[in-house]
Amino acid sequence: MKSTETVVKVENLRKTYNADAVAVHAVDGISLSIEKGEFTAIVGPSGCGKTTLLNMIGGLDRPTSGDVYVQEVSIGSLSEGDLIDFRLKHIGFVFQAYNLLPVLSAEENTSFIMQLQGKSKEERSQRARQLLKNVGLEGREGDKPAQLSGGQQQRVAVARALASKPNFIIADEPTANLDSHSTSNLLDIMARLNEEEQMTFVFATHDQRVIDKAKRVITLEDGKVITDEIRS
Amino acid sequence: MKTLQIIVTIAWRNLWRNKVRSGVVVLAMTMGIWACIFLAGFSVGMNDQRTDSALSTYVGFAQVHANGWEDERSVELLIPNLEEVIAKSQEIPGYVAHASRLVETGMAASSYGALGVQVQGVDPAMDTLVYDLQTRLIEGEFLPESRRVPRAYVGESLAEELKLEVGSKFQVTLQDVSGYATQALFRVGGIFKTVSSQYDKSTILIRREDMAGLIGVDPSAAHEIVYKISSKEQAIVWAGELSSAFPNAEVMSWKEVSPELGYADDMMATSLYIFIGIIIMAISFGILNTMLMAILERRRELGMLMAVGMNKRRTFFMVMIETIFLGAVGAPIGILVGHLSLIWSGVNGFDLSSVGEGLNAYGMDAIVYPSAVPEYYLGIAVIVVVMTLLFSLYPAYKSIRLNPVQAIRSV
Repeated sequence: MKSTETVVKVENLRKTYNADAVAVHAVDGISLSIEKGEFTAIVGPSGCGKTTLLNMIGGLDRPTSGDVYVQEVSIGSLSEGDLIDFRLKHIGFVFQAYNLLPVLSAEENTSFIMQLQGKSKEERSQRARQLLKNVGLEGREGDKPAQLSGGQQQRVAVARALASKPNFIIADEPTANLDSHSTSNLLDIMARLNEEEQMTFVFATHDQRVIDKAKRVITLEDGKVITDEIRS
Repeated sequence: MKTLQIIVTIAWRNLWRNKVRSGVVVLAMTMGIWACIFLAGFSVGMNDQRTDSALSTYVGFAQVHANGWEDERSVELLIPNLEEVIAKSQEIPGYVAHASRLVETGMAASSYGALGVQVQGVDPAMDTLVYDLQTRLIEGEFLPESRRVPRAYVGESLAEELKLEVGSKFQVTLQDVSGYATQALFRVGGIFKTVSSQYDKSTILIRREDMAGLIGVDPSAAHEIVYKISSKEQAIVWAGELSSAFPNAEVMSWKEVSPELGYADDMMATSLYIFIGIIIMAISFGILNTMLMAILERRRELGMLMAVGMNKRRTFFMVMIETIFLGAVGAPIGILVGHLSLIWSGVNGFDLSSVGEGLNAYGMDAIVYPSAVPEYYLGIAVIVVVMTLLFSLYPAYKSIRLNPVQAIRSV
């Protein structure tokens, strides 16, 4: 039997917004675990709480109650400063709109997180170039985001997310702005990284192509887990 | 250090993302600093000219009188041990030249009127080593040899007031050493015009021997010794040294003889810094506006940076340094342009003849030669850095108040 390592553990997580004095439960008592090497898609209709759940797992948002454990560290107990530092060291992010820095080249966009981590220039450069090669952007290291297509920019974003050697990567609608060719290309890269490097991915998505690739699909509705399907 | 490098790189490149907007701000700062420097150079040049003119016309770099002269200005207050004082003064470093003078307040009268004047008995050959009154001649000649009717050198305004021309006779009334009024006729030998209309209206120069005869003193006696010293600053040290050697004489540097000249220097420096501060503060509001717009436009990037692990201290620093760059880029350009324009105008001068009479009333020349003012550059640079540093705090604070989740999703 294959041994498992829990990367993320969510315990009775709730997020309640009080809009116009009416309580809205965006996430309503969710508990789940994500193991190392999973390729998980969180799906559901708009407003079901996918992004809110993902933001809390990624330490970008604080729960109203419950807690998130990453590598057994309760991120709810971390101070604001420690949480930012924790994200830098343990979590990779891929955003819907790529969110690359337009003033930096592909290589600089990939390496600047390592620079924030205090890595040496040689290590940064070597790793950034390798990561860009892994996502099929060899030879485009010096290009600025404006010189790259949407799909290429999102691949730089994946390389950037991997640069800090995170425990897992969360990706919020990573294919929403991409055409089908770019989506397919990006998903192949992510699936390969998942297979070859056991990198854990957690997606929030509407995209059926992402759902089809996922090894686990968690469906939410009204802030609750409706189904949690693990595929062989 | 590695982190600092990437933060500074991002801040610098961000500065040039919107070249037109940043360019306008940099240009505004350049123009503002150029204006500050030019204003400083113009004011310093004008003030220096006024001081130099006063020093070379009627103040000198230093003066020596008998004790009590400052209070009484009495005709019998001749300088004791004159030769000894002169000999000692020549030994003190900085000495260039001296001229001994007789000085008394009296009355000048023509058939058209009478005016109170200061009569100065001078030795033309020596006086021209200290003062440049001979160069201010506009008509006639500068104190020619004594004749049957001695010659006088009078200011243009006085000549106009008494309706005198070269060759006209007029009467001078003084008091002799016995306390009696004494009068003599003089003929106008030359008319001068300095930058001070007040001086021109109240001064008559005659030869020292003529004045000595008129007031009944030895021709070698003097009420006043005026000095030319190597520099204005040295004159102050020089006067202090001579004063300690002759405690019974009144030794005064130019700053003591004419304190308003020194006050003008100090007042101008203070008011210039206030003015420069106001100009740079006004420009800094433009920088503030630009940075607030930049932050609004870059909310998503800032949100991403905070999301992926850039802490608030680094984010704050990045925005702050970008703001400082925006202010600081214009500073060296403004200083350079200001310096070059001062060098150019210092050679060519600014003709303000249209307001020349008003300037003359304040002892200033109608053509102003601005001076380069490197001593102001550091002060201006410090004001720019301090102002932009202060104005960078608010945009930097706004940036760290962003919520990463909301910022990332903003359009």
